[in-house]
Amino acid sequence: MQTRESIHDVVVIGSGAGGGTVVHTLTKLGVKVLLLEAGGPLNPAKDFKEHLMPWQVPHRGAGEDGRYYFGGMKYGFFEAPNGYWDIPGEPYTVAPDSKFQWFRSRIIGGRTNHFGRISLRFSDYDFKPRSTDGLGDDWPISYEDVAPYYDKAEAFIGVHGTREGLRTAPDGIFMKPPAPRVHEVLIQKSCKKLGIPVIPVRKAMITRALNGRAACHYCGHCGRGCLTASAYSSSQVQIFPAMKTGRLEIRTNAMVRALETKNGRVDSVVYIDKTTREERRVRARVVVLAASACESARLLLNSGNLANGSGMVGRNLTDTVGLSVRGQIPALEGLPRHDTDGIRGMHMYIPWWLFGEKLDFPRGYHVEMGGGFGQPHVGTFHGTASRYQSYGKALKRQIRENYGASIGFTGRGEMIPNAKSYCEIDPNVVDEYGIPVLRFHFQWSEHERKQAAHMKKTFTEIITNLGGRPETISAGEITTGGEVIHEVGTIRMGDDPRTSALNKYQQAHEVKNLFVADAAPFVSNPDKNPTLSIIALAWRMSEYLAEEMRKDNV
Amino acid sequence: MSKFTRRTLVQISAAPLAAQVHQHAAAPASAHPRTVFFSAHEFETLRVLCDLIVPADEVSPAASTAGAAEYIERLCANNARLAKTFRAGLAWLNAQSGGAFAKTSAAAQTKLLDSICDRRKAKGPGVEFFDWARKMTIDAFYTHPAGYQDVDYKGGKGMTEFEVSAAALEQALKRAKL
Repeated sequence: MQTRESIHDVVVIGSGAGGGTVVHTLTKLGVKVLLLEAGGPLNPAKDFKEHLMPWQVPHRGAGEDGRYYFGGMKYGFFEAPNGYWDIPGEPYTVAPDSKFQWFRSRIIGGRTNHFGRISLRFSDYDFKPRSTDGLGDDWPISYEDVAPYYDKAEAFIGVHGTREGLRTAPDGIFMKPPAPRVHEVLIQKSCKKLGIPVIPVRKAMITRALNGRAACHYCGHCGRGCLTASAYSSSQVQIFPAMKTGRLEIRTNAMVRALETKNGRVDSVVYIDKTTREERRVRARVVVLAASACESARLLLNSGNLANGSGMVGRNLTDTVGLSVRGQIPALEGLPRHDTDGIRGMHMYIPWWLFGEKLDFPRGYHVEMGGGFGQPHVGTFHGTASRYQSYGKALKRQIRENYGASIGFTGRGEMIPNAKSYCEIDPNVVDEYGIPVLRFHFQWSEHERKQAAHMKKTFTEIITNLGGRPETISAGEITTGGEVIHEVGTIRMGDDPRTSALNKYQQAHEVKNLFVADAAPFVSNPDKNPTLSIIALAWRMSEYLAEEMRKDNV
Repeated sequence: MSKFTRRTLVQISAAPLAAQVHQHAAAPASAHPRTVFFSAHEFETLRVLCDLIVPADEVSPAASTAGAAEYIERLCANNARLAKTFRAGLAWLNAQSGGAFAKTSAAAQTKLLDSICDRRKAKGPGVEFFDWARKMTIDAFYTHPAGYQDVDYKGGKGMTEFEVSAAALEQALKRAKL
């Protein structure tokens, strides 16, 4: 245990994609780091349920109390540990006129232990949205500033894909992608007639050995946590290796309550040790917030509105626009059975293809796809049962015939920040550690609703074109805010301290030894999943920070 | 190095899986111990119902092979909402069958289930219950090796390189006229 007087070089709060990247980069550059994580330690061998079959657990994956049947286990029993819509003792609230849900992870590696590993670079125009269409704001940096760090990130975490030369999907440093599945080839050929490109997806899954990590073995269990670390996670790929440098100290179950300042600088970090419920205090030369966009904003708001002269902390909250349509494809019925596990989810995807076209909504979306002879689980055949309303031998036959003949499309589009979507401290509620909780306000605008309608029309057309019968599977006409788990923007960066909390290196305008390395600094939320950009930007921030420390500027 | 690693990995990850599938498929019904919640009468009604929803056919055995009634009973024992649905539903089935659904003729059982199996047409107390029983019975069956064999799931083994069935691809492209 550190004494009250010792001062840590850098204290990093949070161990997901941002925190993991900061820890990895700084320790490699010789900086000593203390990592605080609000959840417990991770032992993949014990905690990951990769390769477990449903019959090996008596409840088959429905949960001991059958919570699956009541919507309580959206990502399932087998998924990697510590991903929650609800954390006992750690509530959040939602304003009466809003709908929002917040997915948090409390464990080393955070949400990277199970995320989809989709790794898409932002396009040049994504950094300049206001200059492009007059909405939102431009980033204080451009694609050229980030490109070298996309290169570093892709080369280090390992991303597969193909070079396509598309402006809407900038190429990167790619490993060979896995072959497309039967339904993906069908979709590709069919979409060609509609002028829609279908290309290999870019995911942080290695198809060749890299830095001691084995190549993917195509079991399809990526979301359960990957024992061989073939799928990137910050825990296995960045934090465990950083421990070997001797420059990293980790404290788990450390729930940070507030940052304390002295003479305009962060002086110490106050946290609750969840195991003893005692308050502890560590002094720091530099503090890096990487607790996730909303959690980092909460911390600043709970630290006397720290670094918030702009009033932007908690503001500009966005998630990704989502809508799904599925369909039964007769051409896929009764095909010769074969192993389609591969990499979980899609091997192919549709990058945005209408940039610059005149549409009734701004920005764009990419399309993810599903299909194949997936591993049967609790719930897999509910759709067939519901469609036929049968039982007995007829139901068994229908399930057999329909198995593997269903395809699905999911749109992932850009939301424009709006004044009605933000998080703030709820004045009436604290969590079990006595820390005031967040209250969310969230509203989609017509931009997003029109975009979702375009998705629905497009997916319906693709399915119909393949001879299928489309069925909308999203509960409504658009996902609930937060549901796609791409919340970003709540401590945004910018050149002007009056309209942004951080400078272009993600350093607080008002507090020079305070940095933010998660998705909170994002100025916009492009239709490319945020994780790869979190990693690239955290890497860039870390190199800047190390240099500033060397020069004694912080 | 890379090839060795991958091959070794697939061997270690695939071998135990195959062994498990085989072992479980061969296991007797006693491999599904009960969490006793229902009375013997209720449990027998449930077991017969499950086997009517997923009966044995030329491809695979019935739901009882997969421990469907035991699965449902276990979750009912731990979930008050499910317990209420199944307790009332089983009692309703028996009440419609002169006291014992399990003991009525196959024709009478089929007639009763035909009257409640289609939510689009049927209404009444048995309809919602039957939908629950159907969902949970197929869940139990198709999450068991017997169900995996029924739909002929070929995965769960891992591969060194991901390969697609050329025969399946050719057939699908031909049928889709692409």
